[in-house]
Amino acid sequence: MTGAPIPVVPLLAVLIPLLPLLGWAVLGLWGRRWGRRTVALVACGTVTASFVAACLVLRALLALSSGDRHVAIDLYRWIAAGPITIPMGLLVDTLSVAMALVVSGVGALIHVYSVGYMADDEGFARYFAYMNLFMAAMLTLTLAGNLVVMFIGWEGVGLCSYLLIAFWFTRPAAARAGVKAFIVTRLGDVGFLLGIFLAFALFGTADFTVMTRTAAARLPEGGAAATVLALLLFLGATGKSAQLPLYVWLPDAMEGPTPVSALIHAATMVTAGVYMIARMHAVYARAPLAMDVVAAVGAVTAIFAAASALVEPDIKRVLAYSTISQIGYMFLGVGVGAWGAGMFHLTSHAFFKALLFLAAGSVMHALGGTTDMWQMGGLLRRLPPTAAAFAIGALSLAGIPPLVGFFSKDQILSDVFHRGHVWLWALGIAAAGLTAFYIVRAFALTFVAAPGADTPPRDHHRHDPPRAMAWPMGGLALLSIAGGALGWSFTHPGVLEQWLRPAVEAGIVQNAPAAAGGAQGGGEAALVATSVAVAAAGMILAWRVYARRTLHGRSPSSVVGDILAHQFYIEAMYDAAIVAPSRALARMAEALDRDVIDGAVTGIGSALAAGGQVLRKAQSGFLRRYAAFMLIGALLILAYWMLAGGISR
Amino acid sequence: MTVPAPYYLALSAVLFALGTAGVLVRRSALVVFMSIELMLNAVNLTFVTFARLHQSIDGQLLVFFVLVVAATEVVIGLAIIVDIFRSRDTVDVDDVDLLRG
Amino acid sequence: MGVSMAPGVLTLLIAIPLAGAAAVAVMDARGERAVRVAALVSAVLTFCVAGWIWIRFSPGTAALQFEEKRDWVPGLGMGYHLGVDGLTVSLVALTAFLFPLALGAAAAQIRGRVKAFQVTALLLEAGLLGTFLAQDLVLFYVFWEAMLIPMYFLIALWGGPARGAAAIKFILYTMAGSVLMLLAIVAVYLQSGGLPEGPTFDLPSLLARPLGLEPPREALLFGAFAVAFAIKMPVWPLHTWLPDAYAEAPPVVTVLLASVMAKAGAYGFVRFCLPLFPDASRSFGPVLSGLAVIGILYGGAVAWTQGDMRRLLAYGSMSHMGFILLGIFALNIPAVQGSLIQMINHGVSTGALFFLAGFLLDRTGRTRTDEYGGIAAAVPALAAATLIVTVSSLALPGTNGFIGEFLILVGTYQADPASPVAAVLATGGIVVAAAYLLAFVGRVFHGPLREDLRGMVDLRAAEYAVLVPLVLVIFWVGFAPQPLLSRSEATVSAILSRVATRSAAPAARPAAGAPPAPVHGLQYRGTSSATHILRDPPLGAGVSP
Repeated sequence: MTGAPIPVVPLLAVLIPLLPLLGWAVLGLWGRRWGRRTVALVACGTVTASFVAACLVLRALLALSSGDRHVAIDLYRWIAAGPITIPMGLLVDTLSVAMALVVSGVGALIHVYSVGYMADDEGFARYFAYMNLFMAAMLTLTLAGNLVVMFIGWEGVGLCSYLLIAFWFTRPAAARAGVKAFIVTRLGDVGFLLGIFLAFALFGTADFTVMTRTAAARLPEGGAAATVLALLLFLGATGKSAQLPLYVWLPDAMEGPTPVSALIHAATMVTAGVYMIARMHAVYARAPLAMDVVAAVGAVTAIFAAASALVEPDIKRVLAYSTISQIGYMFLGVGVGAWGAGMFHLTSHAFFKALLFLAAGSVMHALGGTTDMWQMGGLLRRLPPTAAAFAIGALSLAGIPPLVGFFSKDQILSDVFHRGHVWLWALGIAAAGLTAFYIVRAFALTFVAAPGADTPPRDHHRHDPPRAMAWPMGGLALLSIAGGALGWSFTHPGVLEQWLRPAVEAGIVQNAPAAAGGAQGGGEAALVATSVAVAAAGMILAWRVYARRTLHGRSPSSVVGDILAHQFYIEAMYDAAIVAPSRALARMAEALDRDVIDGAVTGIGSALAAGGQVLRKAQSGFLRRYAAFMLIGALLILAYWMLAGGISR
Repeated sequence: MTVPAPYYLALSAVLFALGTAGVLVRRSALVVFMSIELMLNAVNLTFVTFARLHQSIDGQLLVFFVLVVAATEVVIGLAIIVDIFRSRDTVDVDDVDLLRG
Repeated sequence: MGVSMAPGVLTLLIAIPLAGAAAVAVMDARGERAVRVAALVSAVLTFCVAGWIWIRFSPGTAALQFEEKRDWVPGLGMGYHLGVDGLTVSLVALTAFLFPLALGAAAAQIRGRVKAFQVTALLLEAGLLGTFLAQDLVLFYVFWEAMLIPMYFLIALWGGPARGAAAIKFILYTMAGSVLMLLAIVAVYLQSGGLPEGPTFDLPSLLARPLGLEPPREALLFGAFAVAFAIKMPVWPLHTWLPDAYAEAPPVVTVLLASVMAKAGAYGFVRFCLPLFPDASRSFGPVLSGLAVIGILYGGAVAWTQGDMRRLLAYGSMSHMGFILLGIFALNIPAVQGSLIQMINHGVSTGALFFLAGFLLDRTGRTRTDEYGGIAAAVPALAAATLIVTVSSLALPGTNGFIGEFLILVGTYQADPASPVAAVLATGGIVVAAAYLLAFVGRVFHGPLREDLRGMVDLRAAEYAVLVPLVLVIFWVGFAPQPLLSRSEATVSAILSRVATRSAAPAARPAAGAPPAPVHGLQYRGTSSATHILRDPPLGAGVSP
């Protein structure tokens, strides 16, 4: 730990989450009294400052040799009880800096976009207070030095997600969706918490640095300890990152304002699970079984969610399913040990999915809040910049070279294939085809197809987005085009992967020769060709089906379509298997409480009262009867003594 | 001459039984009250007898307790009876059953 | 050590509210404002003293500080013995912290018999503080009962429509527990005859050496104490007085019930059950842990179904108290430390929730959650405060609730064989908590704004004055709990080492158990002549020559 820049790093690292936190406090306390301009300046300013701080940290780290890019900062002793000590610790290394850059960069762009999007909303200050709090929590999660501090961020982003989904709380659907998101992710958080407890039991600490360093020594490879720990943490990840089976909250989360969907439910929070697994890679590397589970869940989710997006009429929900599906890819990547590829896809997804959401938001802004694609159509001519932005995002998502999505998805698929998971690779390729299909369908229905008869007539003027919204879209479009440079896969490993390598390969004992990277150049080209061909096929098919039709009819109903439209009836199964029984159970407990337990208590009371009712009859009020009873009693006692002989001696 | 102890005891038993019978059969509160006094004094007689018999002071001591209690009882009891007579125009114990359950 | 620093400061702590009550009692009942101010001043003074004690308290030692000890009934081994240690210093501060807030909030909510209310509340404060400070079993019992009586009147005189029944249920229920505890206290006294100073009620003297109880008797006494404390907390299934009392008491009194009085039960477990009956604590710990887990899940589930705001919060409070009990009987330092800090947290967070419920009731008079709707639009500040307090009740990290529940669960997880199961089930409780608390927030604050609530008034200055200190504590403890934790650590580890050492050396037990025979002899010699009268045939005495 030598070199001049190091002392600045802790200060900057603390500032990164602290600045938005201050923004939250200030906006929460005084935002309502300020003008919109001030609020916007404070909110965007703090997040941008965070981004700048993250850039400065990056510069400081670049000045170091690659082995030294790891700064653990313990600010103060947060919790200490007996053997357990938890510092308020941050960890600055290549992984956390990369994530912090993505989060604060995309976050800053979306904050700016929000200024335009929310310009007329009553809750302007409240919105930006929540957004700043979210940034603070997300950056805490990113820079956390141990699992418990990460949990601050983990729960903080969940809370903000709840608040922002239910931002328009007077709409019952929004309020409900917020609660659903919170409770479903909390189910996952139980796993995360138990994982922390287990980490304390196994390591005596939850510090990332210590765990990474000692995982190989403490956890036998493939042992139950590592597997259970990895799976518990993964349970937390499935909740937060909306993977099977805990994905159900994300489509409903689209009730929130669209920039929220872009920031929280596409670019940052939902990818926290992937980041966490990359952070805990040393533990996962000791648990091959858990890794297989992660990869399998990722692959199945990828194809499942892509299929669900095929018939969805709501543009935001299409993007939501797409997000679920893309995060599935990321888990597939980290599940096979391709940490760098997973993080790369996280980054590129943050770019293009945020772009897609912002473009969708721009459409909604123009149409006054409509999200039903069957009521759109023909917007290409009316909103050309928006259409262009959406198209760039869509092509990137579909995996068309040379956009960023192509490189990152391809790298995951290639890593999956080379590490011998052919079946998972096949699932991934199939999902890629579906992805291309649904996103082109969305583009065609929204922008190309002729408006149908049931489309409400639109009289209002052409309504392209204001500049505050256009600029961030432009920035993200640029990143989606040029971001491929981060992982130019033909020079495998790419820039990002090389940068991450010291962080994500520490503590891993290589017992097999490193997975063959660029060694199989010929095979690589074939893989790339396959995935591009599948994507292109999907796109062409979707274009042919949807671009030329007019929007008078919905998609033909069929058994398959029906199943897809209900997302394989998983929601219904949840309702039947979990929600309804727990409600019934709660009602049973309530009845038990009232009738049995309280009944027993009041029963004792009324039994005593009833006994009193019987005995009161003896109190006749006749003095002479009492006297007679006394006499009889005295005589009986005397008789007892005589018979028992107690009176003598 | 001295009267043997059993005579005293027999007398006190008779007095006690008379008092008991009075309490049980008479309805006038005043008579019931007098009967109770009779019972108390029967007991006093027994105490004195045994005290004499055993050459012990304990029995005579207790007699004083009983006398004191009886005196207070008379004071309070008569006051109550007078009060009842004033308010209800009767001292018949069967007519006074305010505390019936 | 503390005695020389400030003689009589603990007596002062009890005396100030008593003096305040006396002063208010002689004031003119018509001058309501003056009465309120006088009561508030004495509560604030009490808090100042308690705060001074809290700050001057030196962490790192398990010994009693600011100790006061005087003879009371020396012949029976009773003493006037007060002291604070790590267990109580923060609880005393919490009690003294909440009373001024409650009296402040009462100004708007208690409209009849104001003077009597203030007097009763101050008597309650004295009783509660005495309960936490007493180091003598009889003194403890006296205070324990003394806090019951004012509480009875607070519910019965100022409560809701069904207050009479609720108050009777409350007092009979808790008295039933108290009676058992009194019997157990006497039994402990009789058992302590082997001590050098003779039989005593003095807790430190009783703890100076093992009592030498045989297992069945120890279990019996443990049970008697445990039932009394379990009713007070309350622990499932002894909880059914709680929803009625919480829902019928005036909201500020509910705050005192939930925040402070419930803590007396939890405190009793740590103060008396663990050190006096270490073996029984270990053998019955799993039973109580099981009840705690049931309480957590059951309370949460029932809370979920409640339509009445305060009954919902009441069951929720019970669910949270389950965590505290769970931590106590995990019997390791993290968990017990977690329980202690959670007592403070629960006092602050649940107290704040009931304050907020009181503010809502005060505005609308509506008790059912479905009679509200969307009021976050009308009262944004009240909604924001509710949100913060809810988040703290949900134990989100960064708030106080997390520190307590995290330590409790991490400790429970590492405790004895079956406890991971308990920890897993209890962790599930956080989902249940989310379900009922968000249902509460959702039904009251979210959804379409009801027309008849459009004109609702947002927080007033006095209400800010109540809520801001609570919110500050929520975040302070959430980010810097060390001042609380370090104050209790030494005491907790001393108590736990008592519980642990007895188990570690079973071979030493015969030596420790030897005293019983002489103890029994002493027991009869020591008792009064009343025993003889009862034991002998009545007529035989004194007559025989």
